Amino acid sequence: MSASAGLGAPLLVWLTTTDHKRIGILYGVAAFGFFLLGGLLALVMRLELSAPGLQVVDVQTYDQSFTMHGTIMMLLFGTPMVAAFANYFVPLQVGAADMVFPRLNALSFWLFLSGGLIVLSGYLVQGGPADVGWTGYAPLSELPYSTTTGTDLWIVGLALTGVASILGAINFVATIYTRRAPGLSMFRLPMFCWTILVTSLLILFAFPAVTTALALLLLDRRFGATFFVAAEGGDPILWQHLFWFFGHPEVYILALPFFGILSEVIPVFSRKPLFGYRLMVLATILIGVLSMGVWAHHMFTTGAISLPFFTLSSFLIAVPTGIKIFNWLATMIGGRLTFPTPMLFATGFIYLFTIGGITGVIVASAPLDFHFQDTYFVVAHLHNVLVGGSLMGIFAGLYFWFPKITGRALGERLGKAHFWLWTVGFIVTFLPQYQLGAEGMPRRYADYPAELGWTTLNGVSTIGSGLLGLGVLAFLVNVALTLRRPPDQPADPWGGNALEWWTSSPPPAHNFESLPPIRSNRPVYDARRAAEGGGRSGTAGPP
Amino acid sequence: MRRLLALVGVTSPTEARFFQVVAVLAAGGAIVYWFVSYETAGTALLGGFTLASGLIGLLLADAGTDWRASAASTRDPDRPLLDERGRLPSPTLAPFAVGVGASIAATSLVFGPAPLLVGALPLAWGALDWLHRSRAEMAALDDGEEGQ
Ligand code: HEM
Ligand SMILES: [Cu+2]
Repeated sequence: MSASAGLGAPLLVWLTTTDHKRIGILYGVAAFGFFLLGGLLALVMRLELSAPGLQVVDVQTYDQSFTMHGTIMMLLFGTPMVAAFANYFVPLQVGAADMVFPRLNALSFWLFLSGGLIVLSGYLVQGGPADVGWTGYAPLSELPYSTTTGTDLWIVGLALTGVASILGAINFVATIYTRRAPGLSMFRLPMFCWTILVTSLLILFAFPAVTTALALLLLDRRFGATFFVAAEGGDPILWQHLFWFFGHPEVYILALPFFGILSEVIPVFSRKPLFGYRLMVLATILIGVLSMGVWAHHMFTTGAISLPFFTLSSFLIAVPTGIKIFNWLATMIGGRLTFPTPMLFATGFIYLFTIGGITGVIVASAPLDFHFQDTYFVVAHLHNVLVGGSLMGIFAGLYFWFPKITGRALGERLGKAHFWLWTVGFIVTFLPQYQLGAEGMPRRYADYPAELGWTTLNGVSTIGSGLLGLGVLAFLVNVALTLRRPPDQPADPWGGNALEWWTSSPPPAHNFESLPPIRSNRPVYDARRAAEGGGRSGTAGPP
Repeated sequence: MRRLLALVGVTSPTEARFFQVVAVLAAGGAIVYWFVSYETAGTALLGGFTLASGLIGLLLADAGTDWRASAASTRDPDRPLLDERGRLPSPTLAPFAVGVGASIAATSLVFGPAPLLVGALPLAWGALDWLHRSRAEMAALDDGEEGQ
């Protein structure tokens, strides 16, 4: 298809592309657009909560805001952001020209984008968007309780994005398995690719559960079925099983890839190989499998599940996660450390994610969870893991790989401002919420009584969310300023390890003009050493 | 014998063993879960996880390492990606048409038949174009191994 000149031409390039790099950028830009929207909803909710009484929105709008905020952040921002990184960097890291199925890859993106827009289109219908929480619990998501068409659009849109994720996962596994460059054995695969492999496994086996649940719910709502209607012999607990069988792995889908990014960033800025590579691989697999067996820790208070099984399995996940944190620290110890922005975000991740992990162990303990269930303690914990963890990983990756993607490095001063606004903003926003939760403030309410003494902490939390907003603003300004400069970055600006640093920045359409010999999991490092006049290779894995 | 050892994971390639290990761990989880809870929904979900990963593991193990070798042998180490250049599809509107068409059609579940009619058109055109192109590419690959 030859495009004619004019405004249509660039548009057509993006609509017709099957290049994994362009699709990665499409995913990233779309996901970030959704993130800004979800962030705006968060600020509206925080404004509402800054003082007792209803100032900004009514109760129904608040319900819709937390539903859309949660849905957008988890499924229209977090998950596609993983797809963005994986699309761009898996083929480059394995030394391939593209994904195995380039057209299927494009289809995944368009399905995701249309599905996301269908979820948002709830804002256009009478009754407004879904109001059922991102967890869509039956029976509250059944017709008599949630009457808006927005909820049906939420179901259909999410099912489409689910299919998109599954198709993407198949593509990632197939690419990692069959398109690796000569010499790149599985145990020489960069850690980021390993985490994408395990993440794809989770998507493959967890997303079908929620897609099924959504289909059944739509049948209930639209076609007179009664799968989740207790009065008609259905079982609302079944919804919870299906949802959380997906929902908990989903949390790891939003964590493992960023563990992978950390494992790329930390060795580079420590000037050392990753400590305990094989143990890291094993820990990744263990976290993946264990995360499929802990879903019902979200259902402790239903009384319908085995408390010891789920408390124990949830505790067990802490072990491989601890191994990872230990290995990152061991990589840093004795290294020649430097702290440009990507490394700042990576270290911030280690601190904040560890705190989130500890509060996670608290809510995973059944007796304590009976106390904290549905309070702000849970809100604080989940944002601790997502805002202090996943988002830190996303930003680490963006600052690290921006030179590769665009040929331009993001500014360090704005980058550091972004990092400190984000870190301080995170602490100011979410630390008070732990306290509010301990005092019993319930989640998902637009209002709270003035006499309970929650006003000050809520005010502090709202100020913190403003800092987070400023941090994102700093990032956007940084990107805008950087993109106005001409590209000037060499192939390997940081002194990288994996194959993406071998090719030019940005890479040509077919990625590589040549490949270095691959004799370890650090081929670009090896080549650099060889060029400097021989020397030892990195940690060699067996072929 | 070699095949048997591969099927139980002893000599299978890492790619297969990954799924085999996952299946064994999943099976362990499913069994423990059943005996501590006697709960069917969760056991079925874990059982499905076990079966699916086990099946993939077995199929990969049974395929041995031949598929790996054939994937590698198409690649000339001096010009690593030349073969792939021929394999990559040219730009196409088909995935966009299929994706958007299918999504519009899916909203029929909410709005009745009208969106189905609207979405079916791009969906059908995209699917046909897609098929047509991949057929043409396969044919070109078959009678032009040297050509690309
Ligand atoms: C960036 C700053 C953020 C702020 C200020 C913020 C704020 C909030 C607020 C006020 C709520 C509603 C609490 C309630 O009434 O129960 C909420 C819920 C939630 N947030 Fe965030 N959020 C932020 C980022 C994120 C991110 C990045 C994610 C995920 C990647 C996320 C995921 C969720 C989820 C899953 C819920 C629960 C929704 C529900 O109850 O159905 N948030 N957030
Ligand atoms: Cu969980």
